[in-house]
Amino acid sequence: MNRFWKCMGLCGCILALMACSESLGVDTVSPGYEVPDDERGSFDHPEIVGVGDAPSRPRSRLDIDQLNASIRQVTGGIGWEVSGVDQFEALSTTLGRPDYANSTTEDLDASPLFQKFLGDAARSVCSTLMQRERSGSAESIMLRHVNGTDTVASSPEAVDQNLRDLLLRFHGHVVEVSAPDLYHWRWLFETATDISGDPLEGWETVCVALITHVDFYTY
Amino acid sequence: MDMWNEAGDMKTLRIGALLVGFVSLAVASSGWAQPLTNEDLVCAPERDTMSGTRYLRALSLHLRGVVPTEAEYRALDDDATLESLVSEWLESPEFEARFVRYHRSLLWNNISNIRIVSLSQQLGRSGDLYWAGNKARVFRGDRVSCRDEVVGTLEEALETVTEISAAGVERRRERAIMVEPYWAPGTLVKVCGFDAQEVAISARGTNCDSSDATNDAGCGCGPNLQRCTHSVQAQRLRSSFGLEIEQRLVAHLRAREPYHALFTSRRGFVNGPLAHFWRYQHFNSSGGTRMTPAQVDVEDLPVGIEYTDEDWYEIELNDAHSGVLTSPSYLIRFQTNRARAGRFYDAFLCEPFQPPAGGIPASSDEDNLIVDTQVRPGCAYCHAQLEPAAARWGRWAELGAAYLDPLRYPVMREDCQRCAQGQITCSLDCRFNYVTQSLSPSQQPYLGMLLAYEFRRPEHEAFVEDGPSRMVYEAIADGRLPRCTARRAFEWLVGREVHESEEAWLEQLAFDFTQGGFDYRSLVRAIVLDPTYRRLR
Repeated sequence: MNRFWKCMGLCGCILALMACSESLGVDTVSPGYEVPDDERGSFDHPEIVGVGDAPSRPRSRLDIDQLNASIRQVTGGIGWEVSGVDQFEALSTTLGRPDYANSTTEDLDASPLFQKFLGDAARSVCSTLMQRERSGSAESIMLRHVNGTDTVASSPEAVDQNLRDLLLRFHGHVVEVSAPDLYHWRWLFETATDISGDPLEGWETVCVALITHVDFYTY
Repeated sequence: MDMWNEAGDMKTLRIGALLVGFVSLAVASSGWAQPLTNEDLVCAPERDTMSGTRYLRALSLHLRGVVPTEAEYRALDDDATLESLVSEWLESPEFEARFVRYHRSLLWNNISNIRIVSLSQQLGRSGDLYWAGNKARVFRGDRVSCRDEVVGTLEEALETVTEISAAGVERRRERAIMVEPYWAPGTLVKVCGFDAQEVAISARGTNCDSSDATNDAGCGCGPNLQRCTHSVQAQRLRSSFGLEIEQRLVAHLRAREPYHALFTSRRGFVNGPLAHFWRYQHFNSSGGTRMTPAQVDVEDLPVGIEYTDEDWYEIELNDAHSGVLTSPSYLIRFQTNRARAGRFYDAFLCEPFQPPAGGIPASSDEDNLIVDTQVRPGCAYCHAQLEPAAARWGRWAELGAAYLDPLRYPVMREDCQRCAQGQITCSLDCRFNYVTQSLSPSQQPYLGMLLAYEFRRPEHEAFVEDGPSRMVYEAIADGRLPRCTARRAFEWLVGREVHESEEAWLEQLAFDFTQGGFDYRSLVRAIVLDPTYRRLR
C-alpha cells in the first residue's frame, strides 16, 4: 500500500517536471474532465511578473505573525493549536522570529524546516476546519457551493465555483469560470476524492494544498 | 499500531503523496524552480505588475499583518478603491501593531535576560516558604531558610534559635509569618521572619530603601514585601519595561506627531508593575541594574495604581529625556553609552560603525599605550566619532537607566576627586559614575570628573549636557535622519536594499517626508503606492 502512494508522489513529481510543457497529457489524469484545447499548456502564473529591468519588489515569505493571523483569517478563526497552545508562538524562534535578546535578524527563508511546520499547521487547521464543516456549526468555507457528496463528475460547475472562491479567499486570485488556473486544483480535488472515496477528504486535501502553496505563504 | 492511528497515518500519507506532486507542480510553474532554458518550456504569459487582488493582499499583509477578507477582495473595483483602503488601513490599530513590530527590529527592546532588581531583593521559594537566598547569610549566618514554623507576629518570628550546621557553621534561624504580598492582594503567603521585616530604618540606622540594606540583617522586604520580587514579578517587570517603549510608539502614532518626536519626546508610561518598581524597588539596585537615581519622579506617578493594574498610564518625564533613546528599555538593552550611540547611528542614521574594507591597520605597542581611542591609530577610525556621540548619553548611567542629575552629579565632584587621589575610600557612586582611576598620565586631568567628560574635546563637552535629543535635531537639520528613515522604510516594505538607480527617488521620499512634517504614514503610503512595490519579482 505504501509503495502505491510513493508511486503517486513520484508521478506528481514527474508531472511537475512537465509543468509548462505543451504536451502535458492532462486528459489521462482527469477522465471526467475534457480539457479544452486552449487550456493545454496555458497555465496561469500570477506571481511570475515580467518586470524586466524595472525596479521591483522581491517576493517575501510571510512572517510568523502574518502567517498565524492569515491562517486564522482564511479558516474563520482556526489556529494551529495543540492543547490550547498556539504552535506558531511556541515555535516562533524556530520559525524565524527574532527575540531581540539572543537574535536580532528575522529569518524569512522558506526553508525545509519552515515547510515542514507549515505542513503540520495546514494539516492541523484543515482537519479542524473540515470537522467544523461536517458539523455545520459555522458558516461554510470549504463547502460553500458544494455538498459532501458532490464530485467533479456529478457537479463540475459547483466544484469549479467552490475552487474559485477558495482561490480568492486563500490566495487573492480572481479566477474566471473555466480558466486554466483551475486545472491543478480540480485535478487535486478529484484525485484525492477518487482515492479516498470521500469528497470531504478531497476538500481537506485542497485546504492543505492552499495553505502550503507558495501563493499563500509569500506575497 | 491501533486502527485509529493507522487510519490517520494513511490519511496523512495520502494527502502527503498528493501534495508532493501538486506542490512540486505549483512550485515548478511559479518560477521558483530552476529557469527553463528551452523556449518551448518557458512559462507564459507575464504581466508587468501584480493583479489588483494580489496587490491588495500584499498591502494588507504589510499594513495590517493579515490577508484581506473575501469581502474586501470582492469590493476592489479600481486603484482608487485600493488607495482608499490603504489610507484606511494606515489609520487602523493593526497598522499600529505593524509599526511597533517593525520598530522592534530597530530598538531591540527585549531585556528579559537582564536582572533589574538585585539578588538580595529576590525571594526564592522552598515549597510554600518564601525567603531571599542571597541575603540568607546576612540574616542567619548561613545559606539556609528559617524554620518552617508559622507564628502569629513578627516579633515572635524573630526569636531565633542558634544551631550548628552539619558543616560546622553557627547559624541563627527564625520562624515564619503569613504576609499579604503586594502581587496578590487578599491572599497570604508564608515568609521567613527576617525577610518579612517592615521597618524603613533598621536598628543600626540603615535606610532600608537603599543599597546599604544589602548587608543589614535589620532590613527586610518591607510592608507587603514591597521591596522584594519573586521570579514571576521579576519577569513581569522586565516585560513591562520592554512593552513601555511600545506604548510610546503607539501613542506617538495616534497623536500624529512628527517621526522625530519619538527621539525627543518627554512622554513615558507606567503600568502596575512599573509604578510599583519606581515607588518601592529601584532604590536597592546596587548589584543589579543601576536604576538609582530614578529617571522617573516618584511624586509624579499617578495615584492609586495597584501592582495588579495592567492598564498603561501616560506620565510626563523631565526635560532631560530624549524619547525612546532614554527609555529604561533602550538604556538597559544597550548598557554602555557607546552601544546606545552605535544602535542609534546604525538603525536611525544608517551610519553603522564598521571598520573599512580590509580592516584597520595593526597597531604598534606604542600605539596601544594611548588610552584615548579617539586618537589611537586604528581605533580612531570609528571612535573619533563614536566617543563624542556616546557622550550624548553622559547623563544616563551605564549598566542601568539612572538619570545623573547635574545638581547631584556635577561635572567635577570633590569627594570623587579626593578618592581618586587616594585620600578617602571611593563610594559606589564615585566608582560607578566618575573617573577614579588612571591608567596613564593622559587621564590625570580627568580624575574626579563625570565619566562622560573623560577625553572630551572642548567642542564636545556640551554634548553631555545637551543629551541625545540635540543630536537628533542635528540629524534632522543635515538630512541624515529623514534620509535614513526613508531608507529603512523602503527596506522594510520593499524587502531589499535601495539600488543605486533608486537613490534619487529615495532622496525625493526623504524630501517629501521632511516637507510633510515627518508624517510616517505618508512615507509608507508613498512607498507602497509606487509601481516599484507592485512589481513583484
